[in-house]
Amino acid sequence: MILDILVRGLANGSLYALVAVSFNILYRPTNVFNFAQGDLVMLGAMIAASLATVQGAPWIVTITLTLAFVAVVGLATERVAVAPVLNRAAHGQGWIISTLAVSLIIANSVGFIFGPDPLRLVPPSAIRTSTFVVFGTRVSPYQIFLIVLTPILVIAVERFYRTLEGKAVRAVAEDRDGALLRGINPKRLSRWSFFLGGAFAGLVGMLAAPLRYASIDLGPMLLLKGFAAVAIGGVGNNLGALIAGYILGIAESAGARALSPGSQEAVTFVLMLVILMVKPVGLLGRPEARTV
Amino acid sequence: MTDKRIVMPFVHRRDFLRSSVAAAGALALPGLGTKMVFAQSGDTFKVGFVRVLTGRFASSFAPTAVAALIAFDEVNAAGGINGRRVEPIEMDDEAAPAKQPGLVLQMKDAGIHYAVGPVGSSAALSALAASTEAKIMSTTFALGTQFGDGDLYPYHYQCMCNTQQTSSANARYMVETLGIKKVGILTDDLEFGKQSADFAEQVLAELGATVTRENVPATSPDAAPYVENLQRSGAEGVLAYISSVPLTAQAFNAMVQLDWLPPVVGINVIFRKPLRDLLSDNALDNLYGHTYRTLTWSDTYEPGEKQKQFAESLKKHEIAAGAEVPIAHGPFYDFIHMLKLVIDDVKDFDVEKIKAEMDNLQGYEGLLGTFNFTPKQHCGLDDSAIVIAEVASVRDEKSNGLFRKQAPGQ
Repeated sequence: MILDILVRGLANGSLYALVAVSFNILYRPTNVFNFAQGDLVMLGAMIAASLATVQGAPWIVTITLTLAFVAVVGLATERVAVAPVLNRAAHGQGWIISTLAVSLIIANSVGFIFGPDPLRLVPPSAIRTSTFVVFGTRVSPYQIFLIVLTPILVIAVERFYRTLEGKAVRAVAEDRDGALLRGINPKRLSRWSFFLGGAFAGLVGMLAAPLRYASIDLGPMLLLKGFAAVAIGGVGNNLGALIAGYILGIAESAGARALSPGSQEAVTFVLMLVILMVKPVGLLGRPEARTV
Repeated sequence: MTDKRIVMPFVHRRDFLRSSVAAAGALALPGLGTKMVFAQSGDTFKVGFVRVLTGRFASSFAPTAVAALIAFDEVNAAGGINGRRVEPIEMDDEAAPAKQPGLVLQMKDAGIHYAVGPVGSSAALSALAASTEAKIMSTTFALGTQFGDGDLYPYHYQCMCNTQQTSSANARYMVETLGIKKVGILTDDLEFGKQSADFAEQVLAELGATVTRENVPATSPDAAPYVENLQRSGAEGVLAYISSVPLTAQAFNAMVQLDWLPPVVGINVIFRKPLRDLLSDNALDNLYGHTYRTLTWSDTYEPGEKQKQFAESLKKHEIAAGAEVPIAHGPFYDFIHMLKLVIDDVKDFDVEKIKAEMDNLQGYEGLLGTFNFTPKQHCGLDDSAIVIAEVASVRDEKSNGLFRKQAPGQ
């Protein structure tokens, strides 16, 4: 029973963690939460399912086109809905409404283009979703793949922040104006972050689709859990996002088993409230102070 | 002196206004094609056509409008209604109950007295609260039993079966035909699902079956824990009342993952294409759903010409592919044709005269069955209109997208 809870919790938690990381990628250099991020994840899932399942495209083509397209949509989001707002006021918050508008546009467009029905993304047979029994628990190769891949992706993102470009992103995150004085171009980093954050969201959508199906409901579904993982882990902290994702997934799974499946949402938000009451900046977040 | 200005740190007024305009533009963009409501002219017979064109439900609900579009075309091809071409006045309700009173007011101001739509029980409740007072004669895509009550909604006609009829048919098939006595009910928390599950529980209890019920929130991220609970309860068959296609797909996926494929009897969502793609042939053989007898075949029964023609018409609408059964299950097609029949007969557009005639309409052979209305009974079909059909029969060429084979014992 415990193994059962762990497997499901870690698999679901991995998805929540990856969505949270995709938020963080954009947040670090811009201090912007992209409310369309869930829809970018959904867009990735829909495009990948259409290419691989409907068109029968090879995986390399599917992955390349999906990541490229969602990355471009991410960049377009920055150009249209974020940059104009930040140009007017670097610490303004008009992006809340403008990114929500982008979310609606993407959701409506995807609905009209792809239709109302969910699409299935069948992974390669080596990582199939069909289950086998281990120690009395049903596990699928895909769940194992997802659980193993997630920390690798988080480590890869963290590694990037140790490069020169990554350090520039961290510098902008620390102090946008100060970084500008040191010759760093925050606008360029902002564009790159949205491009890469879009690609990462597309990848998360591809990873979610075999378990959750590609449909327009996928975006809002993962958006909330991603937000919760960001808040619990600490805004901008990827390791925190990973731990928070696991905590959320396991708590949901345990809650579903111990209480009832209907308690999953309640467990998520009670847990979030309790953690934030004890640590208001999240598990690994740092208090921010801005001197003016 | 106290400074009474409201200070909003970090939010600048111009930024806010600019963003608001952008958001408003984004919201309005998909609805630009919506026609404005014009006053009733003498040349055409205007019918309010409340459909979902924008919003998050647009793609899911859009196919339901196809039946009305086919009926409008057919009626106009047959000379219109009482000599006038029918002009559907499209109004986008975004599937939002809050928008319904405003749309009814628009119709009233424009002198429109007849309407089709909206889709969904919540939207229908809101619309009928306003349209009943405005004396607008309508049909809505809502299966609740209250919508067929002629006293409660005297200007509304439920041109399809209600939840009591469909749930009873499903439950009886599970127990009486399949012989299953331990039944699991998997339902969402929407009004339709709850009402269907309540009726099914009543019937199952009367038949002596043991029932386990799992209520899946419509926004649930994962249906698997609910399915697992049903399996653990020892359920030998499942009644499925989930309206959302993705959530239904998740539930079936969970069954496949658990290698637990009991007989499932469900609502019309079960006939949609994604579920067929998901399940193996073996698993598909265990799936049943309720449909209308007129849309089925058996060794002794064949669909009629009207139904065959409708199946062909559906093919002209790309959006209908894979959703033929749910589209046909709506009330719009028969209501529009009944309006033509009655208004042509009365030779008047006066609502009270038409209502008097509709209230006594008997034996109308529609797409979904034989309709009989009385002033009190506005649900036009009786229990015999419903049958249980095999989902797997879609593979038979007789299906033609729309038709299904009656399940054994029907």
